[in-house]
Amino acid sequence: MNTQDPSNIAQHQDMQALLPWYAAGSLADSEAARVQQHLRDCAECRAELAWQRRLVETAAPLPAGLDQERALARLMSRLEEAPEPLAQPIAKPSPVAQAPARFASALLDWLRAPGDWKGWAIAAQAAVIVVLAANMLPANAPPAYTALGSAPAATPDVLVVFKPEASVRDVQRLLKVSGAHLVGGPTATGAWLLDIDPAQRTALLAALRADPAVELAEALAAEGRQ
Amino acid sequence: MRDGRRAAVTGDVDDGELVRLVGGGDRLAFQALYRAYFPRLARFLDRMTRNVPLLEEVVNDTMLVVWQKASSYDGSSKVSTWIFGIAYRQALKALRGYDEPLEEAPDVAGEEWHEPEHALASLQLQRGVGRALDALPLEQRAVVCLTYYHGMAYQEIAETMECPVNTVKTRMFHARQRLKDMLSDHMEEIR
Repeated sequence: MNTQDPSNIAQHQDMQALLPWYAAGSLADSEAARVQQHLRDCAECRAELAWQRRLVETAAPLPAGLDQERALARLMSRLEEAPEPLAQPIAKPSPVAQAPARFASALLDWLRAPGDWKGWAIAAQAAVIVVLAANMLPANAPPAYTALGSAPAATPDVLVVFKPEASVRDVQRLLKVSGAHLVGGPTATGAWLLDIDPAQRTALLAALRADPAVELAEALAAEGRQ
Repeated sequence: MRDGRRAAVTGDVDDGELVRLVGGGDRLAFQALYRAYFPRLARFLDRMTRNVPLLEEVVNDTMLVVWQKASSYDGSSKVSTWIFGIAYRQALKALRGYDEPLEEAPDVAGEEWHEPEHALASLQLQRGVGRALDALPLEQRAVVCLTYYHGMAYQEIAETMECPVNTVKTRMFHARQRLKDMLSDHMEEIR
């Protein structure tokens, strides 16, 4: 291109400004065509485009330690306390909904604590327990997320993280004594989601937290279980 | 099993339909929308917050607003633009209590950076870009991420960040200059 011509310079700058979106493929067709035309005559922009394409490919993997299902379980419990959308009848707040606040904050503190050991410890533990869980999940597990809009979504009552040294026997014993059912897990950070008798929740949580095999037990406000 | 269920929920339902159902208080639809957006929001917010527990919290704050506001979503912007806009504002809110991102990245010029072989492993470039991005002001970083990693048009980014289109282009211009300075070694390799 003729770099002496001011109108060419202005056009060059306009086109160059669009290269990141051209490289990412998000320009409208008409604009993309103009950029393409300019690229034919402009070596500088062609080189820049090659660089932009490299940059577009540098998306980093998601960070370790993310746990989508656990985060979702936490959020579902918050929906209980949040104002409902207009079309939604107001759900009665559970009398024990406030109880987990302390543990929720303890859980967050624990999650925020530095160090990678948790991930490894939990992964090791999950590897053991996943075998167990496969056997313990009921064969006809309730279809928690079967079809859109068909029934209230199943929300687990309690979230438990077992200690790395917890044995399969410990877990079996706890489930048997508590009458709890495993309904989900392990989440990415090794938490298990339990379904329990809501009437027993407070007592059961206390028992779980006191158990040496349990790292954490957190109530998730349940819904549709009055 | 869960994957099968997820597919059943998200199958042929597009985002707009999900938001409409969420607006009606459908928790299953909400969970499907959450699962569809979690990885994308996490990628964006990871760049913005560099803190896993915080980013999960911001994802949840974002999706809580989605739950509360879904019934007022009018379809005038894409669902993704709407949700990312909420996420961007929630991230700014969450980061207000934190230190501002560094204007200069002191470790960019560190030894690891100038590895003798200048290997062009994409992993190396990825790390370099990651560090360079961390050194950008938040607004510039958001523009770059939404452009490169989320395929957003500049008009959508303007909507997401609630700023004029020219501001998006200006932020990108400055970000490119900064990235070029910080990544000059990598750039030489492709020339």
